[in-house]
Amino acid sequence: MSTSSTQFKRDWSILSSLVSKDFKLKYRRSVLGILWSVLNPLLMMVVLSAVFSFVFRGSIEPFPVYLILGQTLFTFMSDATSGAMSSIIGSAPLIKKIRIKKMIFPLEKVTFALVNFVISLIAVAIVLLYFRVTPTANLLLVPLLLLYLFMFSLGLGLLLATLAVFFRDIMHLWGVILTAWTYATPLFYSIEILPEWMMGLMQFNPMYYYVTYFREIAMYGTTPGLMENLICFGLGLAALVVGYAVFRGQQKKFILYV
Amino acid sequence: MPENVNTSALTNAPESTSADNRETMIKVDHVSMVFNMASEQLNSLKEYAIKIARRELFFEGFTALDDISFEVKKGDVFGIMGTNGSGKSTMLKIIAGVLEPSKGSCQVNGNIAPLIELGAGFDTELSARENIYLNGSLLGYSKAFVTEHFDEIVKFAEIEKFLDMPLKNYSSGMVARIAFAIATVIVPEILVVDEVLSVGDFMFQKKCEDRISELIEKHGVTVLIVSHSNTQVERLCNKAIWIEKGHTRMMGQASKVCRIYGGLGGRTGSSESEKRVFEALRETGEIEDDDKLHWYETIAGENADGVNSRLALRAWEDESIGAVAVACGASHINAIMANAIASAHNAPVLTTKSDALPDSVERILHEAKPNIIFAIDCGNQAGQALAELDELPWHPHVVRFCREDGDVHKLSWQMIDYGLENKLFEKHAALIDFADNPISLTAGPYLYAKRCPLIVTLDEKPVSANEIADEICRRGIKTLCVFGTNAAPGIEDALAQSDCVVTRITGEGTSDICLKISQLSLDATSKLQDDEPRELCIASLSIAQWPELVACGGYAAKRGGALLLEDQTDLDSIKACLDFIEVNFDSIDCITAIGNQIGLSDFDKELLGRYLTLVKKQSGISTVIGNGRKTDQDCRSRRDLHTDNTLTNDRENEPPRA
Repeated sequence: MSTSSTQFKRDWSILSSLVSKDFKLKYRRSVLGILWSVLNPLLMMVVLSAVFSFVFRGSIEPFPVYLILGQTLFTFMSDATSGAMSSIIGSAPLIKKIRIKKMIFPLEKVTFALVNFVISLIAVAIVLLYFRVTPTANLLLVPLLLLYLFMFSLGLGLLLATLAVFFRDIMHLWGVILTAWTYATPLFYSIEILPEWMMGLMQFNPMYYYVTYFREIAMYGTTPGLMENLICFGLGLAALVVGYAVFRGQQKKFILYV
Repeated sequence: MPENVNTSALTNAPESTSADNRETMIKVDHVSMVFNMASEQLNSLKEYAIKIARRELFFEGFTALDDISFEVKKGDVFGIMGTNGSGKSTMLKIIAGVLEPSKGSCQVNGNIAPLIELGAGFDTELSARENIYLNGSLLGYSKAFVTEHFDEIVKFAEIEKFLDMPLKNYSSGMVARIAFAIATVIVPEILVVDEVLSVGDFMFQKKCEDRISELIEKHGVTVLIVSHSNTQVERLCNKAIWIEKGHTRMMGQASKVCRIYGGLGGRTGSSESEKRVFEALRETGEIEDDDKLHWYETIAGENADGVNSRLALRAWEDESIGAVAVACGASHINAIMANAIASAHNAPVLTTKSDALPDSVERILHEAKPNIIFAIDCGNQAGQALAELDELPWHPHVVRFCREDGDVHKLSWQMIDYGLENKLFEKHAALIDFADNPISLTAGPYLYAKRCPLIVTLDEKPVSANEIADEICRRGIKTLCVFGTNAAPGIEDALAQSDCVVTRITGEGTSDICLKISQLSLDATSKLQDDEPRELCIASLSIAQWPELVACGGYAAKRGGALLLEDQTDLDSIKACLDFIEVNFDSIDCITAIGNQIGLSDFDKELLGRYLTLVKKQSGISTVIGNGRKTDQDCRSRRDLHTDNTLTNDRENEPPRA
């Protein structure tokens, strides 16, 4: 029987080799390769700001910065959750053949999304520089935000992965939900334009808090208060606890359904 | 089920004496595995909700394993056998920790290298190099370890040149090589092998087996092998368990379990038959295996025509061949019909392919230089080959029975008329339907021994019973033997008024009829050879073997035997064959298997051969008079000296003596 430290080493090694595999596969045979992780959010931002600066002219300045901050952060969450959701089903051949911690697969997908996000931060930095947004010490809080969102995404991902094993419907539904969520989160509009009742609803949108947090530290240079930190952390923790509990409770049955 | 072997009793016996102190590596304790079949189809919320509402969920269980217990001690090589879908792989997955048993427990002491379906976790887009690292980490090796042993893996898998090619361009055999190389680069405490040896070319299979043997011999690794290959388990394992449909059928010494599994595994049949065959397997297994003793002899050839030629050579080994019948091998009936005429001239029946005479036939013709050759070809399929007969340098008389229109019924009358004109036949005949191939084959020895011409009915050109009856009466045939139920139904009534006596051989199903005909043949041939040993020819009932049996009539008749067809997938048929031998043991001295490996397996042949010995032993009869055997042997060895070696490939058929 292996001790817990060698077990951890083994899991870590599997995790890192799976992430590196996904990474290699993502950019294999593309000419620009990893550059796409930077280019993609940039181009996305150009398109979206071209469209939306026309629609919501002048309400936010500088609009592209506002846009790319929300956009990249949301992409991290949506990539992580969709990846995690199909991770168990996708690794069915492995799960059926090797004794392996099943939690590794959703964790790997969320980690992979995080890595991508970190690379896309270069794009964010470029945009920030271009629009002469002065960096402040608040940027040091980015890792903290990432930790919160990582917990949140992982929790949600674990929950979705479990559900997807038993009901494949989730996989189709989640794409729709994500689109709805994109519009329900103030990514390319300002929250001020919303009517009163929607403002109330926004209180229940976790992504609203994370996006706002990100903009505060990166764009407006303000320090989020304790309350904001607690909300972001609390949401992450709650998601993680629920997701973990559900996943753990059901994981033994996975092999019969994948 | 014939026997649910008490597992504890069988396994404890050897272990308590020799290996008490060995460490238990795997302990499977009353493991049951129930799969939920209903859940497999539930893939949408709606279905799920409906099922929940109806409380139907989780009820339809499928028991893959039912209360299985065994222990594997350190250093054991343990085989798990069973037919497809019997739960072997489920068992392995439970041992590997991939599946959780529904009931019971499975304890494993030590690290496992699972070779279960090799190549788990390979990504076809990645190169071999990347996959080796990826798979290595999945198997729990550190990166440093893989780097250290990288060359070793690559060398074993023989993929040096293709290291950086994506795996999707590899052949499946090459992928298996890499997988095997990675999995066995460490020395695990327990190695689990699941049918992996069946992939890859045979050189690599050999290499894999060598590596596994090395792990066993040098490192004392405990091995668990899953296989439905009997020989593999017998070769590698010391202990084995046979699981059938989730139940333990037998457990114990690998050789014993393999023997029983080989005889019963995967075959269907009634439980009485199974019991009978099981008893036979057990009892025959107790006969001492003496190197000098061979249970049976095999007559094989490079192809069907070769087998037939070889039979001729063997049957006529100490006689000169004055006449030969050459039948087109494209249809079985040509050779079967040839039996009577061939018998009249004491001639062997040879078969030819359509485009040219086979080498073996040509050799026999040139050596024997027969004066008269009968060519039988219904449908003119071998016109080209039979034309060669006219060009033979010694200008034999060639009598042709060929019909362009393929009307086999008319051809049979043609042959009968020829025979009657030349006073070759008595006033009797046999009747068989063209489509009853196995019946025709088993009737061969009878037809040859009785010099009985054959009337063939054909579905495509139906002839009424009355017409046949008229023809029979017109030729004054006095006795008619009808084989099978399909041949000319109603012929009995049609001939009721005539002075021709009709006997029909029928039974429940083809194999039953065949058996009765075999009995008839054996009785017919009984008096032919008094001082020589009588050989029972055995072969498989399967279609693949038919071409090799068409010329067996002459051989069996001359050897005083019969042809016995066994359906080796059917225990009832095996039982019937055992019964046949048991009843007739007095008239059979040895067993000869006809044909190549496509027919009966060595195992089936051995069972019948051993069984004959057993029955003779039990009845206290010594088999053959020593002198008779000796002459036979002398003849054979003499012939072996001056006929060519390509055809001599026989095993000595020393019949077992009590």
